[in-house]
Amino acid sequence: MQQIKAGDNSAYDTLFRKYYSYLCMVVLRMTHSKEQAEDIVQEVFLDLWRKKEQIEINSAVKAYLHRSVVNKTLNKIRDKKLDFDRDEEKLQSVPTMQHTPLQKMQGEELQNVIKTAFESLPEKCRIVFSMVKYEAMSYKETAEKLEISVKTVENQMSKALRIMRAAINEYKRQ
Amino acid sequence: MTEYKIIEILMKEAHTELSQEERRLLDQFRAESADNAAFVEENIQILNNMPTYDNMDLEFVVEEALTKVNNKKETPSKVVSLPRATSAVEKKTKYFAWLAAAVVVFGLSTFIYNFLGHSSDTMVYSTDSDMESFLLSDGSEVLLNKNSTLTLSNEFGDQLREMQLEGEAYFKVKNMDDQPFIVNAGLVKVEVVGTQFNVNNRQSNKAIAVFVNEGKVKVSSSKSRTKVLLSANESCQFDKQTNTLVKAEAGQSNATSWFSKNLSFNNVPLGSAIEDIEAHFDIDVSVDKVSCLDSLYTSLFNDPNADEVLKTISSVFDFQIIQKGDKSYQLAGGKCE
Repeated sequence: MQQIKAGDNSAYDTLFRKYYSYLCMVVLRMTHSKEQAEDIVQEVFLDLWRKKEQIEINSAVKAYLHRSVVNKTLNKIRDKKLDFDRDEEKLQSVPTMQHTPLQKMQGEELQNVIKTAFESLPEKCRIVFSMVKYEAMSYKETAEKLEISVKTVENQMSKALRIMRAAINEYKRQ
Repeated sequence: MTEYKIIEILMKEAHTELSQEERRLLDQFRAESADNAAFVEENIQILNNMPTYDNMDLEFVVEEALTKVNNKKETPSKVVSLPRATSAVEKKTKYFAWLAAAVVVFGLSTFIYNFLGHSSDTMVYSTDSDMESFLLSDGSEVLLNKNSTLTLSNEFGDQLREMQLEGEAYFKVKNMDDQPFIVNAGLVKVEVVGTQFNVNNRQSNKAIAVFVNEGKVKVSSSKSRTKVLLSANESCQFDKQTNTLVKAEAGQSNATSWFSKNLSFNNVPLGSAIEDIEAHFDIDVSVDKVSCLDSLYTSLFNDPNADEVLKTISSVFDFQIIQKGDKSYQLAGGKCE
């Protein structure tokens, strides 16, 4: 980081190469769009360069970048002014996966069903769930960041798990 | 409702130690019934098997992205920040002076980067959570609202004064007779000859609206053949669905409330007052009684908060305020003429 502060381009490039994909995945857990994920991460790296003289990083660079990326994503989400209390989104039918009958629901297969279900959650549901699950935020923190009520977080969390449970049960029945 | 609490506890358990109370609640819930125990087990199973996204199954073209970012970073914003006013009062006075001539554009911009082409030829001015003022190379001043981006070509000032706005900004334009000052805000082009104006081009807005407080401004859109010339206190709207540009009846006296901090309603229909209030505080307000939306309302607020405004309105129309979320209000009941 000291090298970057001094304007060292190659140190910057190294940092970029090291964390770019990781940070894109962080955003992708929250949103559906790969393109948007890349835009956000690139913006964060640009901000890092432009503000390099002012930035004081007290934690690990990775943690700093992670936090910046999450914050920027949340800003974008807030700008979209999603109404988290309105359930106009249709519950998308969860795509079912190919499987061989005698296989047990475990290991990789179970993970695949959950992954598919998670990725097809309604947008708001997914945002809330990934903040709590992946960003390890409390309900209160999630509510504050999204400027919604704790009640709404509770609703969305319960909904997310309900949908994923249903996906597993559906799969088991087949 | 207990299930909500149980889920919260389970989520917490994934990354922190539970308190004794939480542990007790969880055990108690589990012991209550077989259904409860199954509920807990199923959820734990899901949480333990969530995708980690550690092993990338998506490929990112890192080198391409890096080149893109490196091109952008070598265009330092040629920005000289205006000296910041030392006190809030001074700041306000300054912004009021800017109000003398203002244009506000509301709208949606989807192609900010397309317009100016390659990023290496552009200067980007950006704000995060605070508004900031910038001095452009031609001497014009820009007050950029929070979460906004203004993109100028590197040739700005030499041949043309043209830029692209995403978000909202207020401009104080240096008069240059032979050089129009053009702001592209989504589908709308705002052309000004030596005046001050304010553009709001938020992604969330459905229509693009232009308001002129003083001075003359020409508004056009590539999607519409109509051109509108606006003078003081006039406004126009570009409807994004029908692609039509129409001069509006009334001005938008609160178009610059984001920095003036004043909300004024002079005998306006309650419906349009509510729209201004929603935009100003970034909240949702619904009125149960539709007939009330046409009732006229007059009031002036100086740097109010949302509660204050809603309470005042409610006392006039006898509404009951129901807070539905952090940013969502319902005005129930009501007596309107």
